[in-house]
Amino acid sequence: MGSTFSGLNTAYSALVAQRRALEVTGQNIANVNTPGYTRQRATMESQGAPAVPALHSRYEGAGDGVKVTDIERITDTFLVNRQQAERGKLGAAEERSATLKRIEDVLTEPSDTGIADALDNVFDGLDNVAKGTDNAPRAALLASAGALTDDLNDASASLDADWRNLHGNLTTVVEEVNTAAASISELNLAIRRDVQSGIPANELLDRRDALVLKLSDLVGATAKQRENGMVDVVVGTTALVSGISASKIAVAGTTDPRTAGDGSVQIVTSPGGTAVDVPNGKAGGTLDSLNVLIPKHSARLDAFAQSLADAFNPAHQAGYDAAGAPGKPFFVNGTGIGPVTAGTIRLGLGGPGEVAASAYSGANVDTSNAGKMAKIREQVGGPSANYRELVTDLGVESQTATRRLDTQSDVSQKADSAVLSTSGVDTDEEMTNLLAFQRGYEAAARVMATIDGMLDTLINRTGVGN
Amino acid sequence: MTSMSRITYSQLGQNSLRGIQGNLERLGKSQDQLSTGLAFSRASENPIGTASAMSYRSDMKQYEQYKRNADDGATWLQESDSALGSALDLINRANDLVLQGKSTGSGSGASREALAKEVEQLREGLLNIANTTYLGRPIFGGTTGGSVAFNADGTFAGDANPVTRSVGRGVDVQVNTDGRDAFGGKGGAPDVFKLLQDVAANLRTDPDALGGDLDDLKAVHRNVTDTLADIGARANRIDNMRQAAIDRVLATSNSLNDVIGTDMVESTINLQMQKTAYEAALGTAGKVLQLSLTSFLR
Repeated sequence: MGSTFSGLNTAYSALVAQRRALEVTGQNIANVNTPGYTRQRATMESQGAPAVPALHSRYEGAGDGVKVTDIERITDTFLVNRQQAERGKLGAAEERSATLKRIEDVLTEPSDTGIADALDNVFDGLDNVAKGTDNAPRAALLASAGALTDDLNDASASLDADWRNLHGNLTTVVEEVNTAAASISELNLAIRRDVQSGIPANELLDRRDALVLKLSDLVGATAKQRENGMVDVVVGTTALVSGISASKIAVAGTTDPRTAGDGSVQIVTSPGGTAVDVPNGKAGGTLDSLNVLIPKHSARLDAFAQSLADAFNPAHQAGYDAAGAPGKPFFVNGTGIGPVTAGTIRLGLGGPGEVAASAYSGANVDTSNAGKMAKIREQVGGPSANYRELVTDLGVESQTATRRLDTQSDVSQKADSAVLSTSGVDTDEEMTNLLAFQRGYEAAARVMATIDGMLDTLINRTGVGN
Repeated sequence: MTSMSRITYSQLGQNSLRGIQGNLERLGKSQDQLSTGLAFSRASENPIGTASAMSYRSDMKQYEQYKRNADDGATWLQESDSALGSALDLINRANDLVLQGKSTGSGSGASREALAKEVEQLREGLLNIANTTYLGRPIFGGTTGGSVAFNADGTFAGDANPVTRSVGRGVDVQVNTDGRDAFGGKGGAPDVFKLLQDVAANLRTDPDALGGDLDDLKAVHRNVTDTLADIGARANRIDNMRQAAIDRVLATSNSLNDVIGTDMVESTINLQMQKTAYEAALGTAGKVLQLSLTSFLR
């Protein structure tokens, strides 16, 4: 038994502790729907007897009550790191799948209005020229061939426009990353101050974790714990945030879709210019689209345009047109320089009279050369087969990307779920805690009232009154 | 806290939402399939199917073109056939006239003059037939740009280039006839126009030479019938190929539908099942999300 009033002290410490715990519960309930909020818990420790040994004035009490030593933030660093890693991979997979779907939309196959159909119409047109002798089938052939080159020009222009859009997106993403990294370094500074002075910094930690997760989404960054509650944020092997200092990144490389290729667009440190390896995150997926996906399929479309010229031009030049002159090249590069590409392919003939339908020079109405050209349709490995292969390969690649995205979605969801399971607020649990702390408070108040009554009896009733 | 997996209320909400959205997505896909009638609309949903569908569409267009080519070729051959049929009639008449002229019984100069005049008329008629046109070009003139196959004096004004029609894969059928094959004049064979000119002259001046003319006329007759037989064979071939093309169009259309068309029955059943699943998900979410400890306290 300690001093006379030590019991009151114990009861008082209990009131304070239960009230503090109630406030923490209230904080949790208030933030039940706040995204990124990590639930908190008041850690109570019982206060023991003074530890000084003595001979005569020994402490015989039962302990000194309870104290809230810490407001603990319930989080599992391992799960959070896993969540960051999976989010990074998810961001990249989403971007790749979306790009391939957009490329598919440019070609719109299978359908009866796409490039395959336009090519078939050209062959039909050649057959019709082979059957007729006046200008009408020739004019129709030129119209069909014009439609085909228009479709190809359109497709190529769309792919180029998409590339430019993605490049713009990448620049925006990089700016967001720089802003977030700067914020994280500021938060690191504030958190270090709080940790060193023993103030709980849970809300700051929550805000910082949300920013790190955003960086994971954008560039696949992960966090590494440091002293004093700070984190380093790393992308690949480059540290974006190192304690209280943050570095910036920028987009470097070509801005012309025609010169894009492997490694042509990069993310570099700014200033410094050293390349940063970004395989994950939205930026990683966008880099992949810019450097590999779009250039690859653009090149295949160009190759298809060249194959059209390779198949049609020699056959056309072997014939003679309506005036008896030898045929000109059927498909040409509109600019006149370089090989035929999907963006530059044009019809090389000026009018219906220049269709080299005849196989014999001089004045005649032979149309067998047109008939021969129509047979290019049946060529094994000819333009029709080439285009089908192009579409199928694109389809398979897109299908694979979609499957990977679905799988990664599931994995990412499970990782998110695991973090929520540990750190999320459950209203039922908080309600139960509320009850417990409320009763605890009431019981402590009861203790205080009882001791008060005892003291009252001792002080006011003992030896008073005769 | 780690022995039992902890579920929070917000997780329950998110799980319900995910389930509902998944159901809605499947429902939407079934509805799409039923309303467009296409089993897939993107290459990535079925790459092999896309390749097949593109192949089939291409083939269908090709076979339709073969059929149109066959129709055109058949008309060419039809025109040639009826022209030569008429020519045969005229040649038979000429034969009769020569026989008449040969028999010295009808001996007067005036009657032989009448015969000669008729033979000249027959020659004109044959010249007209030989210059029959189809769509503005002489059918017996090859690929000449001129308007006649034979000049007024009986010389050939066309060329030897064939006119062919592609009616099947690797199958090209010649649909025109070289005028000289039918009416002679090739490689020393008797030329019917010169022959009739000679017959008219002989009728007037030298009836004894008509015997040789008769033999020549028989040779010309054989020429025409041979040509008619050849035309008939080619017309047959074109007809067969035309029918084959029609059959192929139908078969390919069926194959295309198998690959890319929705199975209506299967899709309707799927739609019903997904609708039920969606309703179940909504009902569950409604019941579960309403529970909370707060409604039971005091």
